[in-house]
Amino acid sequence: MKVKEISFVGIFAALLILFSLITIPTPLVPFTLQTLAVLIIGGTLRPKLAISTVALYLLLGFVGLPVFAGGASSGPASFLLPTGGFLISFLLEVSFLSIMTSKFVKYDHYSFVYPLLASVINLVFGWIWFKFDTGMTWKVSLFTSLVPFIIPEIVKCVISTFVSQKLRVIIHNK
Amino acid sequence: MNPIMKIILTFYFTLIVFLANNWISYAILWLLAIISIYFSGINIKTFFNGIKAILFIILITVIIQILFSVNGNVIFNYGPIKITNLGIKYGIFIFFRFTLIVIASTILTLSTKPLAIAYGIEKIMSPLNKLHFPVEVLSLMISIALRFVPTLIDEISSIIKAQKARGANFNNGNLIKRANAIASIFIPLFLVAMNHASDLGDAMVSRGYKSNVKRSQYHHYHINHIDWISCFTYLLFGVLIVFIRK
Repeated sequence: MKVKEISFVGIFAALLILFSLITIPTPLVPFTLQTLAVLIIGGTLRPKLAISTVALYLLLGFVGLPVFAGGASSGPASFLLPTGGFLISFLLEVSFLSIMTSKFVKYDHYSFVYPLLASVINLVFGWIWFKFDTGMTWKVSLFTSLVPFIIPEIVKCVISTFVSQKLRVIIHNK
Repeated sequence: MNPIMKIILTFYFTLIVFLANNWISYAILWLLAIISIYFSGINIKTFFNGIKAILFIILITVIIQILFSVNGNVIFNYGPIKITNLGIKYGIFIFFRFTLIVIASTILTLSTKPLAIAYGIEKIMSPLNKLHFPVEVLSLMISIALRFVPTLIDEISSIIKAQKARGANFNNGNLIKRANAIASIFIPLFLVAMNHASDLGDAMVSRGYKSNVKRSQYHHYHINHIDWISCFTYLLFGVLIVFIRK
């Protein structure tokens, strides 16, 4: 890894930690910026850097640093909780998104589709994990772990497409 | 205490929590947790503020577990909701299990400086060096990530002030409006982060940084008698749990 890549991964992991600590209070479901940051990182950085950043972030949480959403205590327990699937699937999400978007410098009208598909990967993986972790039926777990997140996730996809598009152009022109 | 020992003992504690399966073994684990909190010297108030958020998630999990369990004698029945005696027992066990694991990792993070944790991770993962895994690079990335969180917090607050001065409204409006206002923070923030990363990379190159070179440490951590005593205590409790579990 080049020296500049090391500093990029470190600082973007710091950014991801920062975004995870911000929660916007909305009724019912907390609107955290953690997933949004993952989408922006996946849509902006090259696959190697994006995947390393998210892996570093997950490692920090795994060791026990309070880096996960809402500043909640982390550690191995957070991966075993019903919401652990959402964390692990960040790696799948960011891999998919960065590999798909690294081919293009400028986005087209369909660029919204990639973050959307990446979010679907994250939500479905998280849902299946939630189902097996809690032992609920498919239907009950669907309504507790997936349905409430659909609208916030779509909003995040829109924002991330917009932000990544601008950032990619800036990086390309540098 | 030595950060390496602390990280290893935290993982060891997480493992023995999964061995416990009856009331006495959980009582022993609680005793160990209380002893650890006492000797870590952490303020109890700070400690509970640290675990408050995740306790809520654990409680929801436990309630779901109790409401939808199927084994055991039914105590209460209403539609799909069935509360059984075994359901309540396992619900409490799950609550204990996750709370204990959270307590262990909270003790680690509240009593150890982030850079000491980075040092511990590097030392623990150092055998991976033989497999050509860049452990030192990983440790450097961890240090950079932890070092730059406060810097970026400063940046974010000045960006928010700058955008507010330009008329951005973060506190009012519907979800779309708020999302729009928030997006106006992201682009400058990511650009600032990129500039920091680029500057840092240049600074490191110009000072001759090379990865995978033998390098000395600024802080040295020694393993002393306190580490051995705690190690022995944890081992003793682990053996006790193995004997007491059914």
